[in-house]
Amino acid sequence: MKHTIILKDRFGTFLSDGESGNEFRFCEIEPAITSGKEVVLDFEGVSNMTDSFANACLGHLFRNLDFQLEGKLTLINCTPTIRSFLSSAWTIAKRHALT
Amino acid sequence: MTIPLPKYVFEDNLYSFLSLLCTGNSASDVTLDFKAIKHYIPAAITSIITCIRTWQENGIPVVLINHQNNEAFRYLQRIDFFSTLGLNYQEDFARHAPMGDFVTITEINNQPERDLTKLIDELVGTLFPEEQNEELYKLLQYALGEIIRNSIQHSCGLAYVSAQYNKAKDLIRIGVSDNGIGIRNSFKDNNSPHFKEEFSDQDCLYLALQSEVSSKNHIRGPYGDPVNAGVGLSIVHAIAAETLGYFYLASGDATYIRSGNNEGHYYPKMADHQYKGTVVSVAFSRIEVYKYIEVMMSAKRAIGLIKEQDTSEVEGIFK
Repeated sequence: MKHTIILKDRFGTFLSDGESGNEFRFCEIEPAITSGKEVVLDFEGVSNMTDSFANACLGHLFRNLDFQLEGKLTLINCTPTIRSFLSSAWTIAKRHALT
Repeated sequence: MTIPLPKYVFEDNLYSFLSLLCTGNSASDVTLDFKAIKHYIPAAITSIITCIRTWQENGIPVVLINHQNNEAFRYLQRIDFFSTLGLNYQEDFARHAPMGDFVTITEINNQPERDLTKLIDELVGTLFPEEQNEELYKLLQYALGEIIRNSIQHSCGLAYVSAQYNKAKDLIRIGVSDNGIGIRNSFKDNNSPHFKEEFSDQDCLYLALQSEVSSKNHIRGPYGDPVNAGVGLSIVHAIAAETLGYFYLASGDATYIRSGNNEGHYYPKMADHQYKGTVVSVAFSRIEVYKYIEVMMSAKRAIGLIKEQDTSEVEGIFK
């Protein structure tokens, strides 16, 4: 079963607060995945974010999923800007996972 | 004691200006003389406010003189300098929404999250509306987001932000000052594994500017993983270099400055220079912000956060 979350509705067009991102991941995304749902994060309308949000929310999520997103997490409607932040978060999380 | 405030404060004399203000820390009373004041960058103005707050907290009486008969009086009124201090003087000009050259001083502590995000958008939109320059808008949004939240997370004190656009120099300046515990105490009080007791303020400034180092990136908190990755300030530092601007960081007796993409340097310690809290002053050259994401990627590569091949590795995660 898919569980779609529209990030703009939750955080606006600029995802900036790492603490909110961390809480959102821990309290909503990860429990949904643990219960067997596939979480779809819809970035439609999100134009910018901070690395603090990207690392606290997505970076930790990637690592906690062992970088295996298939069937668990889907990221849609990402602009090139958002892709670059998520790519950085992935890279940093992967480096941390190896050390 | 009387502290005669200088005519100008820019990045190159911000250090001596803070040293001058710090002489008030050990005084029995402070009189700030505004007579000469003409043009200050935002960090200088927010630092006056945090120093006044610190003196007041320590029971040091503060008096302002010549503050209503100097060339900067109306500007200081417009940016809410006096009203932030609780001084409300009659204004002999029509107040209208500031557009394009400055944003008013704002206290950033104790703002609910939704208000903080709104505040950042308002600050940026006042300087450069999104429809006018989307790339610059995003860069300022990012920088303010990281610097303001950094101050809130670490300072444990009162913090103020202000910003200016200097058309002649084509520089956008952001200043955030707080009168909190300072960078060294943030590492110490949070039992950071990066910290050693023998570390000086300068050692701790150096740590704070390293990517993936933070006084809190070992604290797991209520949500399992640390909030802080320790990348925000180091990326903003690198962005300032990429855009040929300035980056200035002061805390305790240590001060760091970087101009353009030259090597940054630390100022030598001075006897009376003990700033209680932290000052961050960042300037970006507007013309250098041609493409937001390219500036960001260059900044991240410059500090070793990502490598050229990293971006293609994760393409598969996007639908």
